Amino acid sequence: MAPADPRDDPALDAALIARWLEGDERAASELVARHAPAVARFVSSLGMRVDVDEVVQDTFVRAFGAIESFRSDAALRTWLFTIARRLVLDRRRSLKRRGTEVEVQEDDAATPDDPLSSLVAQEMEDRLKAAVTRLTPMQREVFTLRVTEGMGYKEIADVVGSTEGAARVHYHHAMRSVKEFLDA
Amino acid sequence: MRDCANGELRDLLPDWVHGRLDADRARQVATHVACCSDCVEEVALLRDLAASLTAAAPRVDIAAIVAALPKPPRARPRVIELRWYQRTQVRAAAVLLFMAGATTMAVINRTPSTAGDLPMPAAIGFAGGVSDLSEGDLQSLLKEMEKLDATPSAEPEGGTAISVELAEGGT
Repeated sequence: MAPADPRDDPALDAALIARWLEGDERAASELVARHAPAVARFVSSLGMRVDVDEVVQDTFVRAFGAIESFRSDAALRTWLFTIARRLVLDRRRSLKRRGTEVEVQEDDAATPDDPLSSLVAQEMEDRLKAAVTRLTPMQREVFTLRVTEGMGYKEIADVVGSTEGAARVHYHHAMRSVKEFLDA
Repeated sequence: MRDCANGELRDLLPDWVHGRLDADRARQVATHVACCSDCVEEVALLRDLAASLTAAAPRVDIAAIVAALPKPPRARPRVIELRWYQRTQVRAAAVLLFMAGATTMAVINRTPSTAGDLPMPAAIGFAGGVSDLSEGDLQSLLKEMEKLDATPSAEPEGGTAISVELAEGGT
């Protein structure tokens, strides 16, 4: 497979990281601009309804704090997603300890303050959203990474801490579920 | 909406939609999709899903994120951490340097730079001119002056006292 999307160009990411390490702060702006929207999409797909921007910011702060340990043979976006996912899980645990349930359930319905429904107006888009919302959290994560980011199963498995085979199974179950919902 | 019977190619549809396949694989998928209604439907669904999920994502403030980032390593001021014995060595060196400087300054202040700076023994004083001295007094003064070190840079030894008895009236 070839990364046709310039956002996925590991060489460009590596060059920008090298420039930042040399003291060029504009390189950081370019890296954030390249990846922040995708990280926000992913964080949103994990069921975060508030503080998405805060999680995205924390993700980049952590990533840049440890960027010298980043392996250039890996995709930067995959690494960012891994950090973001860990931050979301940490927040959920923290909120759970304080008695605030934020886990997104399978039957989680669309709500007016959901970022999806606030921007989706047409009926078809509402149906698509509802179809995705019905997925299990793991299916939704895998499905979103595959459908919106075009990530391969190996990258997805790295992000969600699973295996390539399991990621493939989650994706196909999710796709079947979405089709069944839309056909109903 | 049905699933295409060709599971291998169907599995590649998201990669094809995102342009992540190499040329040969992309051509293979395109050829298949062109004659498979199930895959046409699935490709359309994938595009709709990607568009709606992407549009629904919250906007992020790039500038705020960048402002919160740590400074790049080369832009950070270098802080050299010293071990305890290194700190002791640095302090000792600083004290020695200070003492050497203070000693040097003291020596410079006490060393005359020209013969004219030589301390004049307080006892040598003339109320009048040399012509007022008698022959005996002059001889005595010359003898005492010969005892003085003629080298200007030499350290005077405790202010050599020369007492010359000057006879009032020159007799």
